[in-house]
Order: sequence, then C-alpha cells, then structure tokens
Amino acid sequence: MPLHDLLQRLRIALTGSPPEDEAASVPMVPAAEYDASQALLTEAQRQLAVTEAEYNTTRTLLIETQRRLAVADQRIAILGSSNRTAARAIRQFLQDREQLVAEREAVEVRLSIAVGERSIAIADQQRTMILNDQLLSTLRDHEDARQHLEEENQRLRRRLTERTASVAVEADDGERSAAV
Amino acid sequence: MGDRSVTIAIPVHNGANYLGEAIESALRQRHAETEIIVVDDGSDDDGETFAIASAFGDRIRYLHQSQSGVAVALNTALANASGRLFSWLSHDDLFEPGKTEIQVQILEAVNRDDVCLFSDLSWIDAAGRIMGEQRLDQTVLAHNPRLAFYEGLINGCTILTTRELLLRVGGFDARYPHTQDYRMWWRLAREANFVHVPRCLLRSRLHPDQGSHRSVALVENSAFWDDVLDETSVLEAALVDGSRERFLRRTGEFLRYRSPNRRVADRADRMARTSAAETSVSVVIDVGSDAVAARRAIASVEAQTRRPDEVILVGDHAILEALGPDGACTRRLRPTPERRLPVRLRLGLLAARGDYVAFLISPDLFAPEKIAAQVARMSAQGCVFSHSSYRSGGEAVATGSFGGRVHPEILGDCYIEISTVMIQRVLFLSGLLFMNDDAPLASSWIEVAARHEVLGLEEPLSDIEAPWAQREAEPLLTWLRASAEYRHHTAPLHRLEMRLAGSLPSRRSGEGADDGASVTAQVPAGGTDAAA
Repeated sequence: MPLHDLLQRLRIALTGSPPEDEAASVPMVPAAEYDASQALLTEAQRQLAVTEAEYNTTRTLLIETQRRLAVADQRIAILGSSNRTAARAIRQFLQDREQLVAEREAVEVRLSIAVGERSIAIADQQRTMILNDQLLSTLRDHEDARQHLEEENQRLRRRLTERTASVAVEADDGERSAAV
Repeated sequence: MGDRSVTIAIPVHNGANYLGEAIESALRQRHAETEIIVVDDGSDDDGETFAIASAFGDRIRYLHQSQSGVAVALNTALANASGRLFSWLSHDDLFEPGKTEIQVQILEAVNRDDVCLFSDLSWIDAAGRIMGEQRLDQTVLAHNPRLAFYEGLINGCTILTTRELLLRVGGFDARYPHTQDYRMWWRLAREANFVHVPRCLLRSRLHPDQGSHRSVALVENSAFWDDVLDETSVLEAALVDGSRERFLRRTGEFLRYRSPNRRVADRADRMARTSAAETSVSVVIDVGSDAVAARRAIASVEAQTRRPDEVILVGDHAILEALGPDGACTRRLRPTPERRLPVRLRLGLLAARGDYVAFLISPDLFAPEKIAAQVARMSAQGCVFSHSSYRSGGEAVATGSFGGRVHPEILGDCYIEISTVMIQRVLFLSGLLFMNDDAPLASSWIEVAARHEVLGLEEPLSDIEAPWAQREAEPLLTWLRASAEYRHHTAPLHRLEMRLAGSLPSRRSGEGADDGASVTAQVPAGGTDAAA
C-alpha cells in the first residue's frame, strides 16, 4: 500500500470521519483493510513509544556523557596545569641536581686536596727519615773511621814514646859505659 | 701548550675492537687543553687499527712504531707529548668525562711537581656494562701513602702527573713489557708522592683478551714481586706496616689472595718467619758514674738469650776507659761530659745501627730473655715502641699492662721506665725521641703515644734500682703545663696534680682509668706518692 493511502487511512482512523468520498456513501475501504490499518496504527504507536523510550534513554545517556565530558575537560585542565607545574618542578630538580653534582665535585676536589696535602706531608716526612738514616749511617762510618784513626794515632804515639824512651835509655847506657 | 695542558697517551696493538670508544672518551674530556696521542705499537691487523684512528682526523695525533711493547709506546708518547701533564689510557678502557679536569684542579691546588694522582675506578665488561667499582679508603691512604703501591691499588690509567716527573725517574722500563707500570709506581712511591682521588674516573674493561692474563705476564709479575720483597729495606717496611715481619706477612697475603703469585706468597711467608731472628738489635747503655755497676749492667746485656749486635756505651770518658772497648758484643763508646739524660740517650741513638734499640740505665739490669721476647713481640705486632713490667726491690711492678692507644691517658699516668723501653730505630728517625734536652723522658713517651700504639709486655724484663718515672712526675707536670699541645688536657693533668699532692693513691692492679684506657700500673713501695 502506498504511503499516501496509508496516511489517509490513518487520518480516518484518528478523526473517525470517513473521507469525502465516503460521505457520499461510497465506502472507500473494506472492513478487513480497516482492521489491518488499525493494527498497523497500534504497531506504529507501539514503535513510537519504543522510539520515545529509546530517545529518552539516549538523551539521558547524552546528558550523562556531557557531564562526564565536562568533568574530563575539567580534569584535563587540572592535569595540564599540574603537568606544567611538574615540568617546572622537574626542570628545577634537574638544575638543583646539576648544582649538587657540581658542589659534590668541588667538595671531592677540596677533600682530595686536603687529604693529598696530608699524604704529601707524611710522605715527605718518611723520605726525610730515610735520608736521615742514610746520613746517620755515613756519620757513623765517619765516626768509626775517626775513632780508628785516633786509636791508631795513640798506638803510634805510644810506640814513638816507647822508642824515644828506649833510645834515651840506650844513650844513657852508652854514655855510662863510655864514662866507665 | 700551557701549565694546564694534558697529553693523553693511548698505546695500542691490534686494538680496533675498543680503540674508537677509548678515543671518544678522551675527546669527551671537559678539560680544554687536551692532546691525544695514539701510539700504534706495530699493529698487524690489515690496517684496522689505523683505520679506526684515522677516522678521528686531526683531532688526535697518530704515531706508529714497530712492535716494541707498551713501555716503549708510552716512552714514545712521553717523548712526543706537548702537554705538561701526562695520563695514559689503555685502548680498551674509558675515561669518565670529568677525569682530566678534576685531576688538573687538584694538581694545581697542590702545586707540586712530584705528585702523581690516581683514582678509584669502575669495571666494565666487554659490552661496556658496569660490573663493579674499586673504591679505596682515602683516610688509610693519607696516613700510609706507600700502601697504595704495596697493596697493588694503583691502576696506571687513573693517573695524572707531570711528564717531567716520569722522565726524571727514567720513563717506563722497556725490559719489562708486562710490569713496566708497576716498576714505575715503585720508583715513584720512593721518589714522589701518590695522592688518591676518591672518585671513579676510569672505566676499566675486563675481557679475556687482556695481555695480563697470559702466562708470560704472570712469570714477569712474580719476578717483580720477588724484587719488591728483596729490595724493600727494613726501614721502608716499618714505614708501611710497622715492622718487616708484618710487611712480609701482609704482602704474602696480598699475593696469595689478590694476585696469582702463590710462589712469591709462600716465599714472603718463609721470610716473615725468620724476620724477627734476622733483625739487628742495639742496646744503648748509660754507664752512669759507677764502673762496677756499669759492668753488671753490661754483663746482663751480654748474657741475653739473644745477644744484641752491638752495645753503645755512653757516659764519662773515665768510666768508658775503665770499661774498655772489648766485650762479648761489639762495643761502641760514646764519651760525653753531658749530664742530661735525653742528650746522652740521643748520642747513643745516633750511634746505634740496629733496627731495634733497647735502653739500659746503669745500675739497672736486663732479664736474660728481655731482648728475644721484646723483639719477637714488636716484630710480630708491627709496633715501633714497647715497654715492659719490671722488678724493683725484689717485687714485680706490673706496668706492662699499660698499652694500646694510651693517649691522652698517659699524660696523667705515665709509668714507662726507660730501662724497659725498646724502640724501632725508625721512631728515632721520625724525630719523636729525646729532642728536647731539658724535657723529662716521659715527654718523649707522650709524643710517641700521641702518634703510635704502645706495646706493653706484662712479663718483668728488667730489674730497676730506682724507678725513673717516679722522680719525673713533677718536672713532667711543669713541662705539660708549658706545652701548647698538651696543657688543655685538663683531666689527666689534674690527676697528675692530685697524685703529686698526695691526695690520690697510686694506681694498683685492677683499678680502672677514669678517662678511657685501662691502666693497671703498680708502683713500688714508696712509689710516686712518696716521690712527690
């Protein structure tokens, strides 16, 4: 059935008045068709109700989605702001870290210098001790040599004295025997 | 180039595998005045090493020599370097970016041309992954600078020093292709100063192709440590570990557990066992004014179970003449008219040749086992100063338990008797003993205790007629009050004052010290209080 006819029948069913042709007591549609139209109408009404219910559901969903979207937008805005804060914090953190690393390096250098100077002082002292030892060893050798020379000198002096004395005694004896 | 200029020498032989990374790490140095010299030690890898080096163009200098070993390659770099400072990078290792800059700052601040810096390092595997770190104890190394060498802690690629210093000690010894570095550090340890930088400045690669793993390198390494054992003097050993015996034991442990030199480790242990017996001993005897008493004192020395190598007799000319130059031990006579004991003892010490020196003031006597016991304990423990309990008036006086770290306790309670003291001669060389002619003897013990541990032997090893320490309490207090270094130690000084005032009883065995160290000294009847 063409859509036009269907609408006509619907109109009749709804208004309760037959079309002008019917008023001329010429029934345009048979009863069976009328019943079918009624059924069709009922079905259309049911579908309309279903569609309306779906529409309402969809609308509710839409409102809920819009609300959620607004919340999400708000959250994105907040997160965007937080992100900027975080980025700033990270930049600051990195700067601080760099500064701390530089400070640590400087402290390590200062510590190395201080400990190094102490270490050098101790090493210098140890080398001085070793040199002192060598020097003392040389001194002791010289002292021993001096003592040895002194003893030798004394021994020679004693021998010289003894020889002089014996020469004197011999001279005395010679003089005495000559006198005799 | 200027004073801050650095040459980084990279010797390489067939090292195309890692050379590029090494050069890049050298080029990444933050220090501006850096020259990089790659010395190709006769690579025969079809030009691969050359190709790697050439890729860096004029950012590096490339020198080639016929294969002669690392030592010659390093000497080639030394001869051709234009930097005042010199560092060495193995072709398979990597510098950290700040290495040169940090070390240059330290060298500048220290401002000495006889300093060689070395640093901590991290180990990497063949792929460059960090496997671990070698971090050294800076405080220990500062107190004992030579230990870095003797413990094998110096990695050549962490050093920075002046080129002139390396040339002054003769450069790297080409006769030793595998130990040229350690022979260089040995010379530097004796003639220059190693300073540790407490930071990992090198990534040292561990991989199976390393030359040091070859058997020929191990043989050369053993020969090197044999030389170290033989040529380290008693004095040097005492400076590093307190005594030659301790030095040998520690070196033996190091060689056994941290290097593959078991044969040399065994040899070090054998040498350690005989070390105490082989060491030389002198006894300085102040002969006093009684020749008969002096003869008894000398006889007690000559009757030792272990005779000393010499006795030094110090005193009046007439007494020495009476005693004569001959005896069971070699005698050295040091006549002096000087009456002050520190001066006489100093004179004796100047004449003493022994590694260990004992003192005896006539009429005191030594117990027969004194020298053997004291040398054995000092040698085993690596102590430079020891004293013992003694007998006086027929009673044992237990001063020998006074030992360990006794400073500042010793300021208030010094019971060390001169005739019980034995030192290592190295202590005298450090200028701590008898340097002040008019100071009490205890001032020398205090100076020693402030710097070293004191070894106390509990067995009485001397007979003392009139304990010297008791007579010295008053002059000691005067000396301490006048000393800028010690007068602020109020508690021990107060204790000494109280003892002198007679308000404190003498410390007897079992009493605890009130400021730290445990002191169980006993004084003879009519001891310090009476003397005070």
